[in-house]
Amino acid sequence: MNSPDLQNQVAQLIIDTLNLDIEVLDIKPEDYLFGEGLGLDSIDALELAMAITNIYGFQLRADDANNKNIFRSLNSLTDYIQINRQ
Amino acid sequence: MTEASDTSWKNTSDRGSLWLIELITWIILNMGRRVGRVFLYPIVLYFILFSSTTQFSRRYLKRSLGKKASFFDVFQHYYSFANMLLDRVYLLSNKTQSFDVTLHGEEILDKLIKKNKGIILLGSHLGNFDLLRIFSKKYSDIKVKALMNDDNNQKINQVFEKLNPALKDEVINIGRPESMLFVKDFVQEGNLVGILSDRVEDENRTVKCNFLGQTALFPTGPLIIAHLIKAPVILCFGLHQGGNQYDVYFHQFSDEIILARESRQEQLSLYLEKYSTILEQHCRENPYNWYNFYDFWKEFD
Repeated sequence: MNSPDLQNQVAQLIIDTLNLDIEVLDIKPEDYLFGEGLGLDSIDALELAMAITNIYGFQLRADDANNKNIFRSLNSLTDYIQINRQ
Repeated sequence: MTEASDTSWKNTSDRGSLWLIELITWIILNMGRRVGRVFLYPIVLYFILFSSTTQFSRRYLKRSLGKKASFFDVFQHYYSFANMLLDRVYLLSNKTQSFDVTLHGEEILDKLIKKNKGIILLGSHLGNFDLLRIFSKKYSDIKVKALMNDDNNQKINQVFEKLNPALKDEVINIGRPESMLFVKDFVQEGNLVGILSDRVEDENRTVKCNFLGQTALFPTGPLIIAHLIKAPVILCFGLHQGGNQYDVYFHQFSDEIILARESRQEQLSLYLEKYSTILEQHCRENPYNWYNFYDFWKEFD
């Protein structure tokens, strides 16, 4: 279970980085970020990954076999950041 | 990029030509290129008579030629397309010695390769981008990959992959969350990624540009990628001049794509106006090299 504070922070990061016209509460923790759901694409993922590196100080890797799960939802992305942040 | 986004080329352009590619591949592999070329005439004629895409060919030709297209123009257009497929089969079988290529602006590519900073190379469906294979051999220190939507043309790619099993490793598929992370790593290691940037993948990532006299949508994705990974961009067009003659043009485009978040669309418009202007110039000079046989200007909706 990740902290609600961090989850809101990550939601805000997604909105700011991608210039989305929505509120933090519009991103449901389990909604898909890609395809259906929030509808992000792989360019958004790159932009988001670079912002995560800037703020949380670690790299998301292209060859991580787990990428699909990491980027699945706000929840999964927050979990991953919580474990890896420096 | 949502799968539901309406991009008309996915429905018409390549799917209709699958049997044509299979037939041409079979003929070349079994009868050689010279005989293959002769066979192209009846094949192309048949294709024109029964294809639903000739209306798009005529519209395009009217714009690029500046006059109403004759049957002969349409024939030349489809012949050029069939010939490109034939040459692709050759290039993919690594028979690159059969081409006579004249380079224009090669020093632009040379200079960037020496800097070892990685390159985004933008091409188009005008001409034959596979000619790059000839260069990737010459520059053995750098690796070359193409960024594309591999899912759309699966059947075509299956035909081409049979010819060249290594092809799969030369493609970066855009469809996964980590696709562009891979592009970033690959380019920042000093390599080159080629993108055909005249077809729209996702209508949310487009700008309108004036192209051959009317507004058309151009994709912004390739330039956003170049901006994010701070890669220099050059343009490349491999244009067929008849026989085994090709002219390959390189154009300096930008050392670094600079986009501000708040005015990103406006800045992308300026960059893509530049791209479409250069593309238009080549279209007028080599009109039959255009291989977008679909409603490019969305005139038929």
